[in-house]
Amino acid sequence: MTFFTTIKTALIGLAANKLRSGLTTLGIIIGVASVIVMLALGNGAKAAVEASFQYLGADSIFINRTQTFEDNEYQYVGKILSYADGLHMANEVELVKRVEMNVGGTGKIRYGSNVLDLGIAGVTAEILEVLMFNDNVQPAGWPVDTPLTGDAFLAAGRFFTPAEVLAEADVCVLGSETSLDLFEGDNPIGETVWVERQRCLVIGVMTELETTNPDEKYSISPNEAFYMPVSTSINMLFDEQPSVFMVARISDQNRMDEAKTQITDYLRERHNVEKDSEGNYLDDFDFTTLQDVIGAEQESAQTFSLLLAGMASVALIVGGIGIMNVMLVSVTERTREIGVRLAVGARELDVIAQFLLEAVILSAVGGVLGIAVGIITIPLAPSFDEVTAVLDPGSIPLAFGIALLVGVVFGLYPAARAARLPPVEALRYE
Amino acid sequence: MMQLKEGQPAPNPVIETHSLSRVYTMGAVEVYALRDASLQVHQGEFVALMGSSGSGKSTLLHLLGCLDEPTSGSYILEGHSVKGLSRNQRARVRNERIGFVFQTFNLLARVSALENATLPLLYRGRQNNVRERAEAALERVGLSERAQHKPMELSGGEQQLAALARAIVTHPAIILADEPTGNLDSLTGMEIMELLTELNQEGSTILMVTHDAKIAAYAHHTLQMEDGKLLDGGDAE
Repeated sequence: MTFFTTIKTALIGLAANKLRSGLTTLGIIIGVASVIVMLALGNGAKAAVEASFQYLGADSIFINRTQTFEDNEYQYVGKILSYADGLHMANEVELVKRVEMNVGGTGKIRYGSNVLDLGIAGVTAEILEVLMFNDNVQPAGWPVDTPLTGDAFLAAGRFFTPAEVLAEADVCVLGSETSLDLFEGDNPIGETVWVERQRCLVIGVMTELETTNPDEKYSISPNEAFYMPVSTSINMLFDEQPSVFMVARISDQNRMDEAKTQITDYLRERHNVEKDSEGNYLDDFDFTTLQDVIGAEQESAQTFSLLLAGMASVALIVGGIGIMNVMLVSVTERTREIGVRLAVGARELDVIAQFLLEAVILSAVGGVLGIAVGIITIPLAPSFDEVTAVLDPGSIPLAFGIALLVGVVFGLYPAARAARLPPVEALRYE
Repeated sequence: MMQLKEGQPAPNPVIETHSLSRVYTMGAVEVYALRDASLQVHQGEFVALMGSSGSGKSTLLHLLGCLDEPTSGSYILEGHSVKGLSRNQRARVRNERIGFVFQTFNLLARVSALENATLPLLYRGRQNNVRERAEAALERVGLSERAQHKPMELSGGEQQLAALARAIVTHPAIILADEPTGNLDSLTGMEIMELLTELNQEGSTILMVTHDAKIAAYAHHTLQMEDGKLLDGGDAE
């Protein structure tokens, strides 16, 4: 029998029991749609991971103090990461282009009779850029899909420069709320505020900011901020040198490992890192890069994805069992027809092809409709945390392939059973 | 049993069996459905096989039609032994050399008379003029007008005509008919028998199972069966 006639024959067989064929297909539709949606959720999880670490930048190395877990608590080992460590790194480590640092402190801030107890952010001059890429906050009412600019964060004046950070200048930039609380609507630019009884010149005021993610509640409003150069804040707020958060920006993204080695050498020398008895360095710092974080997170997203797809596959297998069941019934009902076909010369393969094709058509139609249903369902799928389902294009051929496979696997037995019927018995069947 | 004119060489038989037996084992009991049947059917003959139900005539017909395998004995179809052929080889023999006509017509219910007549050709791999040949077969049985009708839309006689068209579309060596008039009224049955007679006169070899003496009378020869045996040796020895 030619392929075309076999398909026609199979279609006629299926059309004879439209409701039954439809219901059988439904099982596959549900299975395939769940695979599509589950993989979309997994894909969404992956995308969320990527998005949440985007601010890290592919050229960034986070430098952290090493912690050990002793006496039931985490403890830092060795020396602190000091401002000086960061300051010289950019000059002494070849591949380090720039070092961003920040340190958090608290202090009393006074202007006239207004006194505030505030968290004070000691930062480097690139903080606006970081805020921008971080994408956790944006100027209030910022239009959707419009790219942010650093300047958009400033309502008045300017931010401090790298030179001012280096010079430990006594300057500050106020959050919009801070500005209102201290100056009650007057223009603060050029005024002097007192930070822990030390003078500090206000050079800029931030725009009113809002969080981009309504689920995320900031413990401190971004508008109650008070920014100073990291160097100045250390002078004004700390009795001894604090450990600072440090991000090294590397000039060549393709040489990240080399950069890590260079930073390691630099910090080992500065910290006089010692070796243990086996000759291994007892480093008091370690690194986190985008690749590290995304790699690990993506691996778990991948596992999550596979788990979901596995659950969805169970639905497909149930659908497949439905197909097998219906095909077995169909073979029994059509025993006589099979007998006639055998009598006029159908070979085993012809009969197998006919019934297998019926099963495969059921699963293929179910596959196509399931993919459509899945794609339609994706936007309706519940989102949790920051994960929204995003269609994974690869899941379409995958789901369709699995559906076909299910059709073949579960269609084979009924088809083989039909083909092996003894012709005489098949013809006699009532 | 071929009536030979003097001096005419006996042609090779289309069908030749020797001691053909078919035994069914039911638990510990062996039932002889067919016992030592030996017969010959020659080209152009029209043979009726008579007997009461359970006499083994259907079993014999199934064996001759390669639908079943004998327990013992030999069966030579057109000079070739059918013994030991695989399932697929027997399917091929059925397809190319044998045309079946059944009491219950056994048409495919969901396709037209024409498509039913086409069926054997479809199992032959790629063929030319499949439709034309099926149309010719329908034309021969006089069903051209009803070619596009499905079995449900045809009378019993017309259904059997469609089945006959299916049987002759491959130009088989022999037509095996199992009670071809059994489900038809006597008038329609006679029409079918007249058509079979015409086909026989045109050269078709026919072996027909029946329990109706009036129907058997259309044949040249009648073989009687009883309890799985051919009574009169029914052959050309």
